[in-house]
Amino acid sequence: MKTIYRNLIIIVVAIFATNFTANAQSLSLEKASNIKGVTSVYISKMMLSQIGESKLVGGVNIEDIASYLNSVEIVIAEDKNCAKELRQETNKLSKLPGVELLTKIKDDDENVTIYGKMKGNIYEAVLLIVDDGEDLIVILITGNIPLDKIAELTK
Amino acid sequence: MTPTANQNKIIELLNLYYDGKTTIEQEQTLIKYFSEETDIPKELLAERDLIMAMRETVDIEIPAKLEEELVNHIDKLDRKEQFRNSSWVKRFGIPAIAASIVIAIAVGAFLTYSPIDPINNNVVANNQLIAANTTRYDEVTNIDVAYQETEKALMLLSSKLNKSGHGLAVADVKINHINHKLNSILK
Repeated sequence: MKTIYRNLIIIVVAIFATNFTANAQSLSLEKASNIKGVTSVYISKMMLSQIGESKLVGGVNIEDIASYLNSVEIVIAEDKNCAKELRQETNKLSKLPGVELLTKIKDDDENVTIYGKMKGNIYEAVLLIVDDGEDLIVILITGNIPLDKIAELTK
Repeated sequence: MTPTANQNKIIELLNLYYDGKTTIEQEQTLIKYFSEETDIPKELLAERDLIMAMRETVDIEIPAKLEEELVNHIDKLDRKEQFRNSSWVKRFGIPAIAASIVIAIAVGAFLTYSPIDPINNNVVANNQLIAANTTRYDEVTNIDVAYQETEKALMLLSSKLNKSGHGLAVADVKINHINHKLNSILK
């Protein structure tokens, strides 16, 4: 009987550990998008590849940059409670291995924080957090974005 | 040829040996006789070979932990027997328990990964559906909406990077990149 209990405990722990590891390691806003009250948008790589027209918007070539992206996730919280929950989720993402603070900007009443995950000269993810204390906008862009493409956004 | 008194004694000891009634001293006497005596009668040569062969197998070394290993092995067999006789296994059988575990894993996986119903607040495009199998409920399936949202996201990122000053963000990016490299070297 003890053997059965032991084996069952091992299996259950293994399942939970696998799920926990899988969840813990993924840089995604999927969990945040499930927070009640938030507005969320997920654009997949397939959709990004459909953006065919080359347009320059504000000096930024959307099609060009989109070709380097795997996904774009936007989560917006317009309520204090869900903003608090979203802030906690985002905070977890910013502490994931490889995620580093790129810049912090104070813009009027908004606190803007940008995190990045790099592999060599390539950005695997850029996390933008715009927080005005009440509303919270979180954008996660993943892909293989060269450093110069990020620099182009500042021109 | 008449056996000598010594040979008679050896024959007597051999009879006792075959009956399993010899003492250790008597067996040693036999061994000593057959290993040292040069003038062994022909009728005792077969006995000599047997006694000498037995002598070689006498000195078997017993491993120090043999008893412990035997006890452990018996315990292991006992545990296996207990497992087979346990009420769960008897009641449901091993295949049933295995099936239950598989079902539990499947249910766990379903609860973990199944999509949640769309919430009205979420922006989900409905027209121009090009992806029939979406993995997320908030996935945009309209090219125009995807373009607009990507544009918004990139423009917001662009404007916020610009807020930090032209070139400053790039410098920050580069400094962080250098720091990251330095840290990895120093580690």
